[in-house]
Amino acid sequence: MTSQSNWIPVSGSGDLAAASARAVVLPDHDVVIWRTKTGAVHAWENRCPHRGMRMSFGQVRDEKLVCRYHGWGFDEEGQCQNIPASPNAAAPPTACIKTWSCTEKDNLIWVDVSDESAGEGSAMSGDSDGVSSLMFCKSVYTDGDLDKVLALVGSARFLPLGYDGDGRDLDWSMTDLPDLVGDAIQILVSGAGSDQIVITGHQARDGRCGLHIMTPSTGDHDLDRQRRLHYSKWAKRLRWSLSNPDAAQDGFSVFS
Amino acid sequence: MTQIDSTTLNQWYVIQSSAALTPSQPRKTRLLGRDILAVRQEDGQATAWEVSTKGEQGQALPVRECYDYVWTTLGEPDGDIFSMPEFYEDGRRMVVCGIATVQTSPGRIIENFLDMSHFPFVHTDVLGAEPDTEVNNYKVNLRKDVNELWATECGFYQPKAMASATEGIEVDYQYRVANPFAAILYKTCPDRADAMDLVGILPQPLDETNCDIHYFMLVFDDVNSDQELIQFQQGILMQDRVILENQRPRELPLQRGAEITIRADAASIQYRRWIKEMGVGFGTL
Repeated sequence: MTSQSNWIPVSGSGDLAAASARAVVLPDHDVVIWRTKTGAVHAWENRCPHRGMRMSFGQVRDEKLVCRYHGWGFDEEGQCQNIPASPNAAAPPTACIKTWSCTEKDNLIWVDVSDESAGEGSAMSGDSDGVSSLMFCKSVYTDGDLDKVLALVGSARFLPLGYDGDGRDLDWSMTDLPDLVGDAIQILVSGAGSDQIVITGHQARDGRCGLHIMTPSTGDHDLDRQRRLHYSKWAKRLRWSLSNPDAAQDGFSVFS
Repeated sequence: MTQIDSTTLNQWYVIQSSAALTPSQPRKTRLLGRDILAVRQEDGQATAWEVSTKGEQGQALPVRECYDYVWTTLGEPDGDIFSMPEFYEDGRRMVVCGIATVQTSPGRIIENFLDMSHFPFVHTDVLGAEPDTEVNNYKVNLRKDVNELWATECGFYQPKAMASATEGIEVDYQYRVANPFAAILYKTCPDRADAMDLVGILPQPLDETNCDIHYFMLVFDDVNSDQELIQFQQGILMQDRVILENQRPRELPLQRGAEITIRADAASIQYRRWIKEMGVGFGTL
């Protein structure tokens, strides 16, 4: 299930509002992802070069990410442009933050923290083959390695919207989606209710990982909203089930 | 834990306020990574011991009571606890504010205390406010006779400088770093033009990146109750804590160029240089 790509899906696009910043923890990197008022996304080292403050606590002002501690403002290239304590002096060129490639695709935010990533977005190849216009539903975080958790998730019960059985009469199949960059699985549910879920994610730190639950759009606005809500609830149930493996006999567990 | 440098080891550290250490309230705590127990004996004497990993009473530690605090050391201090003559001045109130537990190194705490340029952003509308963000040049001196670091001629516009302030004032500050892990601020007293109020922080390093900060005020203030003064200072410290616990690394980097500095950071630059020369390895990188 290992992807050849360096792109890591770190967040749902909808989970990063305009003019906001958020921390993402990867195995070897503390990352801040932030979005300008006009919608561009950036991924940087989550650390102000001045006194080490996490930039994810900062705010977006005038399309700069402003450090919470001393108000140093960094432009979209990661270069400090203003230092309020010294308003009449130019910021030193060394006052810059390491930037990584960051892009959005399939309603996810993807980051490339590899050494080759020089900030200029290396092109994201790959096509979400057979999966048209995915909607992001919810991210959940859980203990475990991503590969193992994704394999485990493949044995969960999927309960499509509008289906009110216990899921045991449904058939489903899980396939890797090698063409969707990142480690991703596609779950096709057939039988009494047919639907499709795509789950991808990223390894975090301390043995934890994040899963992003998505489903294809139907094109019907109201129905899509209901389906997003439905699979968000399912995602919460999945998280509970993953963290309570001993409760697999409990009807609430998606592994029962 | 690696061996602790002698400068760090040979300091006096506050481990509790005198008032809070009563015969019925011993304090089980840590100092420089070691478990210790402070006990007020029935005869009123303050005592302290190291506690072994098995929980047994270990070596007795030297204890002093000074400035309404209980102090101890794990080493052999060269001198006494730093002098603070203001404590004995008529009319001043010593307000022991309590303990704030903060997950960072003592060096990061002292450095934040010496820093004026964060006021408008962290203590917004209290100790500073935009657009008055500029830090004017100030002086930093190492007083070699007493081995203390002083920053003087510091001035900053503050919307609410102290609990008793009713309007914004241009305050004068002096910072005194009495030892690597003790700092006192002298600032314009809103009530008396001829006097300075003191605010002190005395971090008790539990280990390299965890501290209990004992903090106090020594003020002329006929208006506010102790509780009001404590709430004011506590509010400031809680705002700082958000910053302090989210700096990386938690240890204070002492290598040149590890962090970008500007002229407003003169106190920080000199503090790092000073403790590096003294060989402080504890809580630093």
